[in-house]
Amino acid sequence: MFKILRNIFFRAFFLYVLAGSLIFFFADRDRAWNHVVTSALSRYMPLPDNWVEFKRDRYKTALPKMKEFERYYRKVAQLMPFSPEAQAMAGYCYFYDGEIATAEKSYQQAVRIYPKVFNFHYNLGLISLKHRDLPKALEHFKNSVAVVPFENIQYIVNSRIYMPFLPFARQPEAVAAAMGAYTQDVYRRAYIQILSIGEVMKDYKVMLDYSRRAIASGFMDKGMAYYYAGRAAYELKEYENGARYFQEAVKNGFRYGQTFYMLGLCLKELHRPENGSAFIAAASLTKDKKVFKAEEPPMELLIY
Amino acid sequence: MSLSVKNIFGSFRFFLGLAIILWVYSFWVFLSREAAVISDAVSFYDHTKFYVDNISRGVYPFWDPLWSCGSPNEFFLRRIGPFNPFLFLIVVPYKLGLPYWPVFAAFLTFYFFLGMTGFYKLVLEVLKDKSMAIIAFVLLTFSSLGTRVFDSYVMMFMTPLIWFFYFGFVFGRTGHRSALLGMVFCTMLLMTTYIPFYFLVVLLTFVIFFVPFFPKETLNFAKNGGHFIKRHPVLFVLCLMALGLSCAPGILFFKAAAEGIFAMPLRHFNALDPHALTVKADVTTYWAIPEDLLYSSFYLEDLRQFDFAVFYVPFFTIILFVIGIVTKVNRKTFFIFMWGSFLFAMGSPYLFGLYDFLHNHIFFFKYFRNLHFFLWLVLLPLFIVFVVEQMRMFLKMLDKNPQRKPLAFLFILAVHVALGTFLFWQQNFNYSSWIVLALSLVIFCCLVRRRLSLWVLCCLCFLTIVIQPLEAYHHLKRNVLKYLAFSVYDQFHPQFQYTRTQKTIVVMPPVGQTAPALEGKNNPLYFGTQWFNLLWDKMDFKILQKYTFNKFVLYDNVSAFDEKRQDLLIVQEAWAKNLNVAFVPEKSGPEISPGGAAHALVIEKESPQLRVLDSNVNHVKLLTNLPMRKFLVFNDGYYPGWHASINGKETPLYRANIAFKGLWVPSGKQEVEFRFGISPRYLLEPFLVGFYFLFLVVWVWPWKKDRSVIGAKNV
Repeated sequence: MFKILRNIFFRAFFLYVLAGSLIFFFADRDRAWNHVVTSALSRYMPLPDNWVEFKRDRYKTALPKMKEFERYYRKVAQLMPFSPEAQAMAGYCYFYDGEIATAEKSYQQAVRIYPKVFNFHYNLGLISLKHRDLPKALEHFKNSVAVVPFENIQYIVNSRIYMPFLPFARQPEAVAAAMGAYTQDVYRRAYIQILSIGEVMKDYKVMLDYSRRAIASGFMDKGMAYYYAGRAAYELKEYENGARYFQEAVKNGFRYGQTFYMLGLCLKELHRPENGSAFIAAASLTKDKKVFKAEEPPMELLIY
Repeated sequence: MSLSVKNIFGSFRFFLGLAIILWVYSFWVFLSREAAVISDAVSFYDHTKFYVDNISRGVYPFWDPLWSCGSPNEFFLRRIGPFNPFLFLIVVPYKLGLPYWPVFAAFLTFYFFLGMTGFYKLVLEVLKDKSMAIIAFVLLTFSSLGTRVFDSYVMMFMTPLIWFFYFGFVFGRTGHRSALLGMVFCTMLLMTTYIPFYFLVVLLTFVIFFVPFFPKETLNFAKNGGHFIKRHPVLFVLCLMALGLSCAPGILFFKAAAEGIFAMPLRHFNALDPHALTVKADVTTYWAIPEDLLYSSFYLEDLRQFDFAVFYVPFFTIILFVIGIVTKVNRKTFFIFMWGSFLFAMGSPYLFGLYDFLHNHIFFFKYFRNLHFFLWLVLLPLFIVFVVEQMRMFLKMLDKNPQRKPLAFLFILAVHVALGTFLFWQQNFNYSSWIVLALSLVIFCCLVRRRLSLWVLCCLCFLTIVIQPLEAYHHLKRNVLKYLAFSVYDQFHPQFQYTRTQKTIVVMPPVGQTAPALEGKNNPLYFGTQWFNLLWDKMDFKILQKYTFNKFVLYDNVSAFDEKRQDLLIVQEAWAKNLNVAFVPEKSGPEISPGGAAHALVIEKESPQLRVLDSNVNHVKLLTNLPMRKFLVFNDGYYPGWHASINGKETPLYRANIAFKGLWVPSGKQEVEFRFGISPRYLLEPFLVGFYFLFLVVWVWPWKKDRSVIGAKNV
């Protein structure tokens, strides 16, 4: 019996079991793991000099050093699965590396962990657009504008992962100004996406609802938002509202041929054909004959 | 053919030669200076170059005028081990006219293989199996330890450490005088190279574990020691004296650090203890063994990313490790396991509380910060000895139980299949891992079935070990910057320079590529006098840089600087406007001499007012010819130990303009001299250079005669 036991316990694997048990029972594993991961990742982070180029060029220049970022964020996401922005940054890299499905999964994971970040939803919307899945894209863009801007900014500026990308990270005033402009820009993009998709899908209720929200939030050019609201109201046969919105659009400087034309159509429907015809005529007579072309926001994922 | 692999390998020299050829081929890009060395290897190169340049001119460099506008060179000398006689393998050919870099690269190669040869002999001494010793040698040589030659100076203390243990084991077995002298010599090198506390930790922990595991061997060692004292009392006393002498420079340096006259803010940062060498525990524990291992694992997933400072062992080591799980544990493996585990626990402060305990209770733990060094210094070689001992045990097991061969065959197959599955799961891009796995399977099958001729098997083993490292090194060569980095130490100027070359690296990018932007000041000072550190910290960097560009400035007025208020803005303004006023501490008793021109006279080159007659790093002699008495500021760091004389008469030397040297020079022709390192304590170091040489000769001479005695029983 002793011989059998000796044969079992005097083997090298027993030493490994012993070492493993010691670590399991006596080591502060969680604390150690957190520290080890953070330190190792900090050192693994690509050189700060490259951040600027990464931000500016992304993958366009296909420089080999961009691959460093990809590897880094993949590693961050792997070792910090509960860090939403790590998942999102990995998703960003996957997207530009052509792994769209993996990118989508990463962003979905980020949203599951923490849904109150604008870019997670917005980028998912862009990915869905790439798949030509308009209803899904619409849903994601709607979620993106539902994020409270203040909470979004707070999250971004407090994130260690986004820190290197933030402009003037050391000057709080500069950060505040830059983040204000950033919010204005990205929310505007999201509203335009929603309105454009609503128009393509002929979902005029959504279009009307979100153009009103855009007007209220102030993120979008008011004239344009009123124009979209007018378009949606016209299609929903709310001619009175439509006429009002188009008038507001003109007041807010959205003096395009289409605005006058649509206003004329509304007025005609409201049994004021003379006025309507006058506006339709004005549409073709506008001085510079400006024609409104719906803006297409760039198909470019947001880093933060 | 015997089943043991004792007979597999032929001569060690053959494999040593082969390993050198492959290693040199792999690292030729660095050895030929096509790619630059990085990190600590840069400073090792710089300080060795500075040392060699001066020693070859007969000057022992106590002072470094190039570092932080003049700093004591003691710290950097401690790092390179200035008394190491092997450094003269660089000095002699360089003095004979050979270019520096090839000589230096040859020295690095030599010293690395000296260490590896020591490792072979150590394993041979411990395991008493030549083939296993050769396997261990090849495994260590082709681990990532070889890459550290080009990014650190770890080999400078690893080589003597390996040889120390070898001589220790030999002395324990034979009690021979040469072995003891070898131990003493290695200890002398270790006490004067880098920080001796690493060696002390390794030695103490070794003793703590060795004594209970090997009481008989410990007793033998003690007996041999006793016999040695009886037989050679004079030699024993000389050895003690030699050890004492080797400790002296370290102790003096330690005392100077306690006085706080030099500063090392980068490592001393945040520490409460005023001792300049103190490192706060947080700084030490930030990067330790687990951090190094995890960081390395990022690169090992895909060898194409292989880089410096990545902990790597050839894949064959892992195969041996896994095969070894069924082997019996003997005293040696248990001892290695326990000692290694202790060092691992100590080097993993966030995992176990052992380091905190040692830091709080053992004084010298406060003075070193690189816990991950233990990974390279001890754990890596220990792991290799551990796996080769397991392999030896495995083969022994097969030898003893031939009836179990089918079982062994199945086990080997299972291990290889398991490792293959693991590689597959890891989506491993390292094709060499698959080749190693296949070759390893062939080798072990042959070892079980006893097929293949001796030489074929020999070559297969060597190939299996080196094939993956060669791939890793190949990728390393591709990943490193191909920039030639020159430092000011590359351009040694025997003549005095009136203006200062800033200690920055001049990067020469290849055509078509832009060099990375270099900033003059982007981090705390690494090492300098405490006063220069103050300037570095508080002064506008551009003004400081502009002011220190010229080494001599003549003033008419001297003002007292309030040391308590430390209002550097006054000094900064004076420098920016080149006002005709120098600043000295109040307690220095400045002599105020009002009047004179609005601006100070800056000496930009040899002039009728001031001409350098003679100089080296420790000494500057000037001839001045001034129309009236002036205060001369020599913009080279002020430091205790500097003396000044005018026409051979000692004269007061002030700390001027916060951090530099200043003195009053009378009108007319005067011979002014600044000297450093003339007090008796400075005689010790040049003496030790000669002493180490002498000790080496005294030791090697009889050892050469008695080599047969030492090595006879091993083979």
